[in-house]
Amino acid sequence: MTQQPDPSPPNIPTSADHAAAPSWLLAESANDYATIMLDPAGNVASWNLGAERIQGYKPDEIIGRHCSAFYTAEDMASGKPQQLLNLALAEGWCEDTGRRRRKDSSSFWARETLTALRRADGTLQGFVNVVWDVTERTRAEEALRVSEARYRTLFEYAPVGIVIADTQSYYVDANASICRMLGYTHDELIGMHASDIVVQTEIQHIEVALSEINDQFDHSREWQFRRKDGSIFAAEVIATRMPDGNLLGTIRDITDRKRADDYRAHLAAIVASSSDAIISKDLHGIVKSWNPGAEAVFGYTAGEMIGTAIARLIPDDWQDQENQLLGKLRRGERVEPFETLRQTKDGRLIDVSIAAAPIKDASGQIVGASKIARDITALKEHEREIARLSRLYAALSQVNQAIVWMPTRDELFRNVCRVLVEHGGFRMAWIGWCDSETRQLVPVAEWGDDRGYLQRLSIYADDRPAGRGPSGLAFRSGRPYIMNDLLEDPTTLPWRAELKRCGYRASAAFPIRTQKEVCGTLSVYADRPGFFHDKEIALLEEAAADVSFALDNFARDEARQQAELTVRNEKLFSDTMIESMPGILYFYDVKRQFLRWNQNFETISGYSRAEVAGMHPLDFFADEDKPRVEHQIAEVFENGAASVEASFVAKDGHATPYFFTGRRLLFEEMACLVGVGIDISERKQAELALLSLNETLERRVAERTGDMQAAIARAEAADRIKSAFLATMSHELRTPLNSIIGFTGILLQGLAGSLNQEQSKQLGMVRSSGHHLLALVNDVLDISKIEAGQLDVAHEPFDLRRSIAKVVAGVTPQAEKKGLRLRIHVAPAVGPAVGDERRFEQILLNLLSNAIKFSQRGDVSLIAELVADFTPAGAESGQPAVRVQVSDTGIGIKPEDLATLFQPFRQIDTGLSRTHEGTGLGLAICRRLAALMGGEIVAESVWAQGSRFSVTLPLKGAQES
Amino acid sequence: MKASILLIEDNPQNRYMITFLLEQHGHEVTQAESGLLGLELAARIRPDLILLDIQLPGMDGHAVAHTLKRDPRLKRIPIVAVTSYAMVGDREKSLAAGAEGYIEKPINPATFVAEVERFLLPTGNEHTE
Repeated sequence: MTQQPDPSPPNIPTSADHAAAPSWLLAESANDYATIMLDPAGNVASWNLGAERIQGYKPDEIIGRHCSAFYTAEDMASGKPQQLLNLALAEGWCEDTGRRRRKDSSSFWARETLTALRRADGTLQGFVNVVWDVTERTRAEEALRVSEARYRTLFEYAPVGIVIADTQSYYVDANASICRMLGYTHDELIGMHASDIVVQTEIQHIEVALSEINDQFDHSREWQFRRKDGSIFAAEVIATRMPDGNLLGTIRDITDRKRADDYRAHLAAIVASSSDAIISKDLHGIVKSWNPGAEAVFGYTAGEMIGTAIARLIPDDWQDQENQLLGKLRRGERVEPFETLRQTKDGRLIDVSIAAAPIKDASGQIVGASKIARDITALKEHEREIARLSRLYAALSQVNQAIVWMPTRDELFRNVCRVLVEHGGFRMAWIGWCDSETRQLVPVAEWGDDRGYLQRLSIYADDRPAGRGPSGLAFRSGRPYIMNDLLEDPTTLPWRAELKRCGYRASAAFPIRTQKEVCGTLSVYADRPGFFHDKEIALLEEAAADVSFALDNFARDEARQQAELTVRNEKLFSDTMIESMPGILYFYDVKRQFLRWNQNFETISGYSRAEVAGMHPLDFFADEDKPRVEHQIAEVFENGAASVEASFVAKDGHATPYFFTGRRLLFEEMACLVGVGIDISERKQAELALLSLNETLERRVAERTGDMQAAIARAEAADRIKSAFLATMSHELRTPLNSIIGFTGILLQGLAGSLNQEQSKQLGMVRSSGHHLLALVNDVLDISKIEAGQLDVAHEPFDLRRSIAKVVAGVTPQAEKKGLRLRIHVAPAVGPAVGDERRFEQILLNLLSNAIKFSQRGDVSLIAELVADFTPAGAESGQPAVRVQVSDTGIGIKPEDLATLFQPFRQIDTGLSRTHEGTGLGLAICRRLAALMGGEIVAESVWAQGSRFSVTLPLKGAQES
Repeated sequence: MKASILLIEDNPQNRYMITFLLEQHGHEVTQAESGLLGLELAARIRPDLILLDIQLPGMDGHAVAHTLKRDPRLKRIPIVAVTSYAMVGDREKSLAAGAEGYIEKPINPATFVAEVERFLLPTGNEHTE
């Protein structure tokens, strides 16, 4: 087993290195560890105190024994200690840890080193075996290892995310949960910073959190995290400082919790907004929750109900049912929807549909019940109404049957009443008919539980208290009259006792008509109030209308019989009339076959009845008249009527002038001609006389017409002359004036030499008179041209704003001279227009000059604005226009003068004409110019306060007519 | 700037008045009492400006303006129409016929010359060369 030592093994300590080893080792030995010398064979050569204490052998007990005594059976089976000795030989030394045996066979954890000792010549001297009892340490290490593993497992598998970060919040460790949450691998996450995994807006909070932790507080907050894929989730973070200074953070994803919270909130909202009552109660029937729906259905508030017994909602008769329901719920059974009755706070009984289910606590124990109640009163009412309507429909159908089958009025009435009572569910029905003498509604038919009610009843058709019940009112108004609560209606007071006695609680009456006149009423009585709804009323109205229809039919039958009699009488009358007529009368069809003629026809023609029957109408005319007559006959057949004058030729050849009129007539579906002929021999004579008179007249008219034409030609010529005259005058009158004004101006300017003061003054008068005369001439010419239709207005684009400014600038000196204030307002929209710029300015100048002229103080104002929809007199549609209003604070115009204001030569004379020079033509011209431009001028005034003139002109000028 | 102005006007008093005013301001005025004579004079003297009465007997002012503006030698001479209180369309007709300006009668002696001078070309035409 001894192995030859290698002469020069590379890393083996030499004996020189270890020369002092035994003494060193022994010095260290004390009793902390065993120091054992082994001979090259592995036998114990020395044994120190430490060895004795650790392993239990005394030196004499062990020296000389082989070291295998220290090893366990398992270790020896695996080759120890020889294996270790060999290793020490090969390597110079070796180390091992394991269980070792003591003298008493107990074992301990040991760590040992085995060092080969060589002499200077390299031969093996032995081994030094140092053994430490590491039982305590191993146990501590084991515990640490287990704890570490436990911690690691906890760390890795904890359902919450855990991270460890350094003080700067860079991650140094992270568990699988947080990696899963964030979508990063462990390696990716390490080295990342907190700001890398939270959303942008959270980054600012990191410093705050760190300072919290640094101040020895735990940090706890909900953070928004960003996953690697960019998605975001909310998580609750608790961070703290660990003893080693690092930060420990736990991160719990609360998305699910939030979702649950949302779900609960959602559910609560549904409960709150449900119109159904949603109630929970405990097993004793005490209300635990009460939603707004419940409040709406039952009228109690949550405050009133919670903590009280639900039994108060349940009518006495239904308490047993509720107890059964609670029993079912206690057994954990659901209660499927069922219909029952409940009592509301105000004592009403309502129909409800109820469903209930048990509520279990976390342990599965039944602790209460939830209940959903729906108010189905309206639904039930609807069902009842449908049932009632079905009955009424059946009744109506029966009424119609009766109408078809009942031959007389009275039988019909009796059947209608019967049907309404038997099928319609009424207590009583009767039909009243108006007695024309007593003016009372007399019952003519009745059915049902009457109890003598009708015998005591007298209803007047006119307005007296006894006629104010439904029947009387329906009769008088011609409309249905409904009293849904007879005992409450004040009008029934006089016979309320009767109504009570008979059990009538609601009543309706419907007019019955014949030939559209109300003749009677159909009245029905029900035994409970509120019986009549719209549908019932409509159906009953229909029944009444059907009865009316039937009565009309009865009436029509009578009328037909009457009509037949009338027709017979008519025929007798017409036959008599035909024969008694003085002229001839005939009747033939479109094939010109005579159908009928009067006796006169035969007498005058001389043909017998049989002869006429075979003749053609044209046979009674001379050949030359035949085409004309035939043409008129055709005319009758074509257009309905015609007449003709022709001689009627008798059998003896005698011809008499006749005037025939024919009319087309559809007789037995064939077009026929009815003709009458009148002898006009005498009229013909008269006509001849008239004719000669007419000829004379026509001749005279022709002469007069010639005169008229000549006169018109003369007038037209005069017009042309007038135009030429006007054109000439406008030139000729003004030319000398221009000279006068021009030269006066030259002289006044001193261009022809200086003037003395008197000369200047007199020349100034000449110039002023010249200007005035020129204005007069211009006005006279203008008005003349307008009157003669010679004045045209331009139709060109111009700028209103500029024109207004120009005119205003022109009159400003005048106004200033009189100390008048000019207020000008031109709306911003006023601008381009189409029309006659100069004429527009002329109108404006005239109005402004007048305003200034007639005002002694105060303001003259001009307001210009656009009018969206101006409709001038005679126009059909409106158009955009400009309106300029010129107002002054002058003397004003008397109302009686306003009317003539715009007439020519009508300067208003109030003795002021001397102070207000003018032609009296200005306004007349303005009005005509405005009219020519498609506009108008209106004047308003209050005497002594001022006037306002408004001129309105279409923006697009006068429309072409 | 002294200018040569041709005045075409049939009324002797007007001719005198306008000539008087223009000469007061140093302009040289040539007078023509009819349209035809005006055309002839215009071609001969090539004035700097023509003052043209519109209501002329015979050939009226519009016709004169029209003819002047058709003549390549004369068309650059500014024409100022002078007429009585405007008839509708007079101004437009005159401008359409080629007149550059328009002055209404009765003329205002205080402003007339300035109004005319406004239409003189800033630099001379063939006449001043």
